[in-house]
Amino acid sequence: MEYVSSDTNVWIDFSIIGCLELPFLLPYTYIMNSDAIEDELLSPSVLRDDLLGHGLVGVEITIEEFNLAEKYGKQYLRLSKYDRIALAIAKARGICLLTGDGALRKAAMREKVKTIGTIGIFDQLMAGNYITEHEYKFYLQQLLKHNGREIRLPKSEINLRLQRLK
Amino acid sequence: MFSKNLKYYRLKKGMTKKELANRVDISSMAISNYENGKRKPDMELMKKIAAVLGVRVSDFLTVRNEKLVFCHGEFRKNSSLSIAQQEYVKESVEEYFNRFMTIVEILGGDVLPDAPSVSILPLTGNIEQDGRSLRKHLSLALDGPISNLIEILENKGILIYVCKIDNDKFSGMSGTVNGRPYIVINENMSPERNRSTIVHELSHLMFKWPDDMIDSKTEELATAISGAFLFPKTDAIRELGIHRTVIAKDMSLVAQEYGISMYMLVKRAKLSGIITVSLEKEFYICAAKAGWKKNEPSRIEKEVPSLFEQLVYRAINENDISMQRGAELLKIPYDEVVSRCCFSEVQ
Repeated sequence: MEYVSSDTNVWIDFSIIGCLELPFLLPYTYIMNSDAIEDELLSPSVLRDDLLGHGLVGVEITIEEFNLAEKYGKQYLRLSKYDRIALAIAKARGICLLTGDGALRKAAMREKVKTIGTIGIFDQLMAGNYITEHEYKFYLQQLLKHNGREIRLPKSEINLRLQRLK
Repeated sequence: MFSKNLKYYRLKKGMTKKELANRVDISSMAISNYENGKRKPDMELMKKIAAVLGVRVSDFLTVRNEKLVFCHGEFRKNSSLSIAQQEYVKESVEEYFNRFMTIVEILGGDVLPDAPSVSILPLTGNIEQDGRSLRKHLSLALDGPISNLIEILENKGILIYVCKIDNDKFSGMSGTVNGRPYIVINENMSPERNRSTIVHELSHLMFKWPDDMIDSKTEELATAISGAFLFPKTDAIRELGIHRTVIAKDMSLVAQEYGISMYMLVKRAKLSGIITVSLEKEFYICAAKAGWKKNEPSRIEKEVPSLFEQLVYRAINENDISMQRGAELLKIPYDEVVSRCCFSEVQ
């Protein structure tokens, strides 16, 4: 199983459209800093138990990761501390970063960390036959429908995929 | 970043370096070295320290902007706050304005109005004139009540921070952050007391105070200017009359209108020649018996700063930051940020 470092907000996308379990079908083990999982101040309160139930793994950070996250604080003001920790974990462990945040994705690009987002997860679910084309289309439409509030994804990317399905 | 956060959380917990050191089996010197950034503990020790302080390791990662230059006002020599409490107030101020200035920087830096110049007004020896010159300096009407004082000051580029500190002896302090004036008030004080403290601190900031003036005289004068600013003599005479023989109920309505305590109103009435010294004393005795010295009933709504929140929500709604980052900056739960993002107000 490949490890993927996860930020806190990507799960909101899946939660809002009612398919939090889907990303866990892929051959990944999603890891997140334990502090981020425990911090009810920053996570939607209902998510924590659901994510742990589906297989999210809490991890402690090393001092090297702490120092990296500290360094990122000076470089990337837009990132929350948990975003920085998720990036530091991905960078230090040489693994992919799962994120739904544009600023974190940009920072990851600058740090040469590979990323995957919500739409990418759906692409992989479809490509691996974990979901049908019909389901794929339905979830993309749901993402579009809910976009603009808590879900903030590039509409053009979703539309492009929907057009390809026609 | 770690060093400043460690000091902040230690002081917040009310622990000395020695106490913290003893709890985690290291020397006080080691704590000093961590707090001044000379050394950093390993992860095991960091976890122990976090546990003793009741925080998470990730809390030590809160961003501290090294470009911020603070110039804090001095506490009075006979301040009733302990040195540790004074340090805590200063660290709290720095922690808050780090978050504040972070959002300002994210939004491009040009979101705050230019603040009025500090240490510029001459003291005239006449508090009524000083009160007027302070109003004039802030481009306010020279008389009349000033409601929404905090909102007015924020719109003039003066930053206000409401500090949570369990000490009723601390009313406020002031200083500058990158040259911009800030004022701190105690959350536990009454709204009227907060307002008079704000103007008291404004006086400290805006007037040129002689170096050789003793602390008690400076404080007395700043308080007197605060009274003249909030309830000018012309207003006092117009509202109360030239001469009054009793302290009557109608006066509390005037106090409410001007957002001041009855203590301040009576003091101003005496200074304006409206009531006699004996009537003033009579009031103080009655008020003290009624417990007003510590807890005078408040007649106005609490004023709270809103600029920081406005800026954070603006950044969230413009996709400059995530809701999680907004929640982190405001130190409120994620769900509250979501509920207060006004996406559907006009939809």
